[in-house]
Amino acid sequence: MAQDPRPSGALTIGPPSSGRGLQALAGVTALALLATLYLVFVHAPQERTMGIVQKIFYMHVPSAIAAYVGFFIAAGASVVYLVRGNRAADVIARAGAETGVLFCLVVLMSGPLWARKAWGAFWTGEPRLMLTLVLLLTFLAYLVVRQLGGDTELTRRICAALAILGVVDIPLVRYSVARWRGHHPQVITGDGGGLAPEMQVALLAGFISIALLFTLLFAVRVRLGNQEVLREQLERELSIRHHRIEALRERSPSA
Amino acid sequence: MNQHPTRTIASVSAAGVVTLVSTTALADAEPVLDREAYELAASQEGFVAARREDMEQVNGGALMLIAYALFWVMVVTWVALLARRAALISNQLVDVRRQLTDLDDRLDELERSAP
Repeated sequence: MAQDPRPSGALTIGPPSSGRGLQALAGVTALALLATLYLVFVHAPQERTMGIVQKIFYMHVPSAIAAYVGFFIAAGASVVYLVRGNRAADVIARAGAETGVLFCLVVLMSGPLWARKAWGAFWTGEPRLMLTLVLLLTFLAYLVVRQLGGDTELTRRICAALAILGVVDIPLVRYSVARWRGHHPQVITGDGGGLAPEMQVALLAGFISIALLFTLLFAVRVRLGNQEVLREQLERELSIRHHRIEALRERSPSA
Repeated sequence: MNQHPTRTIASVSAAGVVTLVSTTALADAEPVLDREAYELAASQEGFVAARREDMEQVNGGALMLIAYALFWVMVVTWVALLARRAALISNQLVDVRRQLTDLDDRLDELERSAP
């Protein structure tokens, strides 16, 4: 008798994300990224004081927002996991943390390259830089614990707590420039001087393409997480069947 | 003990004078490669802090290109890692499902043959 090997009552986690939907999203994201490159390098003018290096801004700022969104998703889903023990929430939290780390790495890679030109040094003791580094290290710790701790209830709970603690750093990053008199530019936040209209278009395109890229990578990671949970459930089913076979053999040794 | 101090002093003095004269002559003979810089340095009477535009010029274009290149490298690497993990888990799922189907068949046989 051919049975559906899918365990009963399983797999109701995560957002529905078909392969075709992800492919379409990947196509749109690729087009958006190419359009953004055109707008950044051709359409947007050079900044008067900083020159061409200012164009890092169109990738740096949207990546920072994407990192924050990823970490907030991780923290929010972690709260749900701690309260309800919902495995789907844990999958979403891990996907948010991983995707957030990618974009935080982009921020901490592109920022120093801009700073080398603007400040004359790759890294300074600037409050926003240090707090962003702390944010990255916290979520790197999250990923390391997830990796080394194995997929146990205890590991998931420790990591949920780490995500909630880590996200507290984000408001500090946001307000650090005003609060501790940092030198980090506040062009679109605070009392910055704003952007030229062509620059606004390029920045908007940057936000859209990075948002699409974030959504794509996050959805792929959630799908992967769902498959990992499914594999665990199937392995449990496998173990149950092995025990049933052993029990049947003990009852009728001739079989 | 030096038995001829006067001769020693005279020899050392003579050597010093020859060295002094020859280095001065060489220095005078050395051509000034950058006359403008030489005269600027010669006329300088004090040290003044440099203006921003006079400082080291960093190639902003190269830094920007490095930033965008690293961004793409990181994204492509990330996607490749996700794809590898997806392929691995997909293979594992196929394997586990096949094992489950086999076990179900064996279970059916055992249950039919059980008294």
